Amino acid sequence: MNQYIGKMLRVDLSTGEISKEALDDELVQNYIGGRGFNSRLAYNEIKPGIDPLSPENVLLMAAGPLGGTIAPASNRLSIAALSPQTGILGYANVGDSFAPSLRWAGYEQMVFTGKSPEPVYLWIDDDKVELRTAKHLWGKGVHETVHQIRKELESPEATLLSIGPAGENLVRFACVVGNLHRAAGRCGMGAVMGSKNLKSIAVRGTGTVKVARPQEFMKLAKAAHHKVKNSVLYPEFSIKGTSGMFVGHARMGIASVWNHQRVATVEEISKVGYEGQSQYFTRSLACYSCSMHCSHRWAISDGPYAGEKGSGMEYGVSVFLTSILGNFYVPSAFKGLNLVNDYGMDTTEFGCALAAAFEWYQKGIITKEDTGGMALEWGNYETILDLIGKIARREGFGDLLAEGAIRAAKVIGKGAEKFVTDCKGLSTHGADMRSVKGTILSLGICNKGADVMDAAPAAEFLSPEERKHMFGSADYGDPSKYTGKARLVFDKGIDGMIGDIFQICKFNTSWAWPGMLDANELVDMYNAAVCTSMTKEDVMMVAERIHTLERAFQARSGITKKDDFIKGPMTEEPVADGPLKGEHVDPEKYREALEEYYEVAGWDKETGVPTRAKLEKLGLGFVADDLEREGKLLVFR
Amino acid sequence: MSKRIKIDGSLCVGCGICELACSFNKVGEFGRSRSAIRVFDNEENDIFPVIIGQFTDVECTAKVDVVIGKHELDWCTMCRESCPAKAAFKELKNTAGIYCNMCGNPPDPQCVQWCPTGALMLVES
Repeated sequence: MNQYIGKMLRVDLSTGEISKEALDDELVQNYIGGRGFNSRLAYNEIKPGIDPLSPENVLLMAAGPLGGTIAPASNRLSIAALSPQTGILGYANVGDSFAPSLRWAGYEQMVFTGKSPEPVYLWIDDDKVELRTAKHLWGKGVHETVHQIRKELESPEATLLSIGPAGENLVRFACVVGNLHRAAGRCGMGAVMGSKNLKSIAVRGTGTVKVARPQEFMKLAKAAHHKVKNSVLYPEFSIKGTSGMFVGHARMGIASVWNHQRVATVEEISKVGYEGQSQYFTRSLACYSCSMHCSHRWAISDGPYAGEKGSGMEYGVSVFLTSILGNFYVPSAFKGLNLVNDYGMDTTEFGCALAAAFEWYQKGIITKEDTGGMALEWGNYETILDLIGKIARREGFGDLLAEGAIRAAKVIGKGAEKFVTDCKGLSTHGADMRSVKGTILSLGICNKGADVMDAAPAAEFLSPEERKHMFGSADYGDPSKYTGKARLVFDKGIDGMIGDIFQICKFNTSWAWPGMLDANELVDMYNAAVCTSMTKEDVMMVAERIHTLERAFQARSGITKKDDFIKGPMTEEPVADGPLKGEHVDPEKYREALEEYYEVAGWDKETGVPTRAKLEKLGLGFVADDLEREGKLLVFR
Repeated sequence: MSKRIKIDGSLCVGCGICELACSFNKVGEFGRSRSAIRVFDNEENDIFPVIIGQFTDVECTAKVDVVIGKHELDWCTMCRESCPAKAAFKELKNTAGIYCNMCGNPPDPQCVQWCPTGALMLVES
């Protein structure tokens, strides 16, 4: 057992039994940490096809092997379980300070099984770990829950992961909220917590994290922080954060309005992007051990939401509360952010469900009779904010939308489905990616569904001049081209996975931008921290192993090539206006790029299932055996 | 001229890198509880690092409300976990307290060196 890797905390919520286990060397060596540990354990412990909201589902949470150290942005925690939204493996991750605290307390991973007979929360106070009643907290928002728990534990610094009413009410896209303002958003991990009657997890770690070669580690970490601070990305990103991308999207002609019916102008997005938000920002904010500090504290000083204050307002929040719904009043987005955080739900899925619903209303597929009298008119932010609570409480029309866009569309019928852009049941990015061919492919092959955080190539969002300057050719990453994208997306997926196994925020790594921390720097820090001697190639192999294992998990749940096509207006219709008018996804070229991707990944060209040869090469022979036994693998390949 | 650490809370982003740099300097390991600097954050608009000076065994009896900007803070809530009377803030092995001794000779504190925003500065006192 590696002494620099913490223990696994196993909590059987049905019996209340809590045990601590050492993580075995084979797991550490082959999966490194974070998302890797979760996906490997999920493969062993979650049976494909079970009801994600049943006690049989297993909720996994893991820090990275650098968590709690001074390594840049090593603060992220991966959460995985069978997703209530998609029915396949789901995963998300969250920053702030939970993972560092967990590692200071001595733990690497938490595994929750079963279902508690009544609402509980887990209190990890270093060695002392106990389940405490949460009956008095059930029904309460995240804000009140966090304050109440800190008060009763007499620990104002306890760091928490909680669910709000959305998680309790099994809203399929309920998220897990870190402290007050951070979230592991996607795939409905909050609903899994809710289904297990687990309201919150609080941790106080007063111990330390030791590293194997301290002086070497410190030197590497300092160089890594230096590299981040001197990167091309830093000057703008450390001030604007992810919201800064918003107006860039408008310039490109990919900022969607009205559920991708038209694109926004730069003027419109300037009202709701960083340019419009910044007047309310009061200071910059960082997650633990991150010098990038891309987030903000904010306070609203005017209008109907004056007095509202909080943290965050990332791109992925603002887009789904504003432009996609035709709303250009930025204070309403801040108010909405506080509401979604307090109720605990994923803004992406919320925004997509609303965007679809508003278009159904616009097109007459639903009427006031269906919505309980609400007029779903584009840009009406009062209706948008009203629906947050209605969905979380599963009230009236909100109850239907709480099922997520695609399930709601199936209930409604009348062709409602064609207004939902999704892949594998997970709704997609807020920007109009049909003009960005590599990114569309990355949404199609992302293991969890149409999510942008796995493998979207940043190069596609640069101008031709920037691409020429950075990569030597403007053709590299040209958003309009399919050629070369399979390789680009595959490599980007590996970059992203490396961030997720070390649990270093991807906005500090080369996933986000050339010249940020790459696999070499991360593996050097890792070796110095946990006393290993891995190479960059080893780590890339680990990343590919996890990516392929996740794909195999999904294949066992029935996912094949047919599920790698994005459905809905974003891929089925051309762009209606703006500089990219007429751009569309060519199904034939997309299929070719997809097949090329399979070839790069070593997956079968006809089925999209990993081949035995590839699985064996990655040390996943046991997975090939499982797939073969279940008839998912084409024999003789 | 002796030196002191000047704190500009308005520049602090709450990253806690100073805590880790300090704990590493003190004990060769990483952990907020072994640091002589602690970043407090009331999750509203106040984030400020507090440097722990030398302390005695006397229990705190003060109960002071502090006003920063427009916010009134219960100071006890803010510093409870770093209070020297609390076991959590003592070096567990020998129960000796961890406090700032202006590391480096001449003084060149690790927290100042690592602070990414200039919230901590070394100045002449």
